[in-house]
Amino acid sequence: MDIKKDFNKSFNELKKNKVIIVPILISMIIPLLLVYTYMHITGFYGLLSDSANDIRQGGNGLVNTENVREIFTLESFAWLMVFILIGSIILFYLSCVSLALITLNVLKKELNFHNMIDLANKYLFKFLTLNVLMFLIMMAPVLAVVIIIILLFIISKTIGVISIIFSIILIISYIIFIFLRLFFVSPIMFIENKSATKSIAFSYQITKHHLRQVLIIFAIMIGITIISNIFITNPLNESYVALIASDSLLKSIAMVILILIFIIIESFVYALEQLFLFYSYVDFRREVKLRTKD
Amino acid sequence: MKYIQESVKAGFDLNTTKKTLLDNGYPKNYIEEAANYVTGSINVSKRDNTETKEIEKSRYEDNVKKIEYAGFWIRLSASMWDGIILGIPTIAIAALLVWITKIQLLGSLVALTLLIVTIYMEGNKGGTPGKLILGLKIENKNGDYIGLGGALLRFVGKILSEVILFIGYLMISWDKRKQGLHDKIAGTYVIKTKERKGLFILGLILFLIPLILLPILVAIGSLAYFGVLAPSKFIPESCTIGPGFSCDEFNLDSAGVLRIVLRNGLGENVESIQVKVENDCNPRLREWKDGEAITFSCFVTLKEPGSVFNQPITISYNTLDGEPNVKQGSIRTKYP
Repeated sequence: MDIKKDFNKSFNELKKNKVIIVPILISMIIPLLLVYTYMHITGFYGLLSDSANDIRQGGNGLVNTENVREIFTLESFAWLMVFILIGSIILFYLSCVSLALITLNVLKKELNFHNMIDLANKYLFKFLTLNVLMFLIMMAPVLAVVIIIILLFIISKTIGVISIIFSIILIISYIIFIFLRLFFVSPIMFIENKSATKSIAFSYQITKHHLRQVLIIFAIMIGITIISNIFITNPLNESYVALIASDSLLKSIAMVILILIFIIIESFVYALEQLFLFYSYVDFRREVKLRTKD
Repeated sequence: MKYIQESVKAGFDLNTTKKTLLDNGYPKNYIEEAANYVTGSINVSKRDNTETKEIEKSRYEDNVKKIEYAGFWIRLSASMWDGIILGIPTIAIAALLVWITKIQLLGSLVALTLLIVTIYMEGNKGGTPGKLILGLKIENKNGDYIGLGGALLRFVGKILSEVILFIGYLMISWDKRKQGLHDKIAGTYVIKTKERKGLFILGLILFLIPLILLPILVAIGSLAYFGVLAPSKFIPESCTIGPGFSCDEFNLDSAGVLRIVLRNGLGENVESIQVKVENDCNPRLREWKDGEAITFSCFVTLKEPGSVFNQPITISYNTLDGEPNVKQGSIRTKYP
């Protein structure tokens, strides 16, 4: 496997087809708009502004509990649920769209709106099933272990404590192992056009005896995430609060522009990560095939 | 090599091309190697494909052997120069921007710009300023610049090198081709194109100075924190009064009583004497004979043990002909 080649290819493809970042960019802006709208509807925005003003004037920023009680009503809770639901649906669809675009690029098909929506719609429910199954595969054993620990605690506290230590090691090992074995499920589903269960089974099968390569790809993706967190995500998160606390219009406009710049760069990084995953899968698959032939 | 190849292909004389490169500061041996390689490639290109590939491969391997890879210390020195050339101005600009605009995000934007500049320079210019001034170049196995993608991957590799407790960087010291983990991931090599010993050593010294000073400062700080080297231990104790009186002894006890033995050296007896340190001291004398030493006791406010007691001392008296006088001095000791 030539990681360097895969990475360069992903980078160059992204440079050539900047449209790939669009769904990711939208999926980053929409939650901001939803949060902003929700806070304005419920009055939380005013509360946070007051808190920010209090901090600016040397206070501790603690908001009046009476005001919180007034705002956090059943109605605002219902709104919260509605917004979470809307946000989840939009974000899920957009993630499917962005993977569809990447797939079109990997398969050397034309990147246009029609193809993108067609492919995204085709994989939408498969992708949903895949996510549900992945969640179950990851969490079901963890849940089982937690239940066993509780039962052991009821029997004996000492055994319960010992079992916690063992189960933490067990759970971490399991999650790492299963995560690496199922690392390629998304590219398999989109590129090989397989169902959710077949993608999981196939990923589990092809990564057998090749965990080293998967680990390298994973490490590089982790590296990209770390860089992104240090230089983009963390300052971006801080700037959202700073925007709310902003005391002048000019400053607010400047903050919004800066936030947009950071969001665009973050979208680029995220798209690069996904492209790299898909291209390295293609390379990985080719190598596994070659080895099988040998 | 690419330049020679293209010049020869375009019909330029090889010697003229070599001279041009020499005039542009490229090392002679490097040019000769590249020229040999290029002319060799041209000659063998007429042979059959397999043979050509084999010859090219062995020639490439020969060249690889001749290339001088940049080791750990020179690269460390280059990082130091990067810190000076890029790091310090970046911090200054970021601090200034944040201070003026009060927008924290601008500081992050400057840091991000530095990251982009670093990646651009490594990818398209062959190295960061630190590397370039030390005559180092980052290249791929073909001797070309690594490009933006390669530089970005190399930076990702650097993060991984750091995550594993900097072992990725230490790998440079024992690797045959002086590749760190990041170089291996990105398939890059750092080679020497020029010899810049002075700057190399200066960079190392600049790196080592804080490295040596830091443990010393930490040690002094720790000793001071745990009281072994408490600053108060080094405070000189003193008791000075203007001409005419001397302070023979003094002592501040834990009850807050300062005892001072003062001697009259005025050359005459004095009357109505009052000594004051924070408060009036005892005894209040009617007469103080010339040359006589008297112990005065003064109540003072106690403060944190070991901290500095530094107070003015005032002696008021009348001469025998009734003229009032005041002498002032100071007393410096530690609180018990």
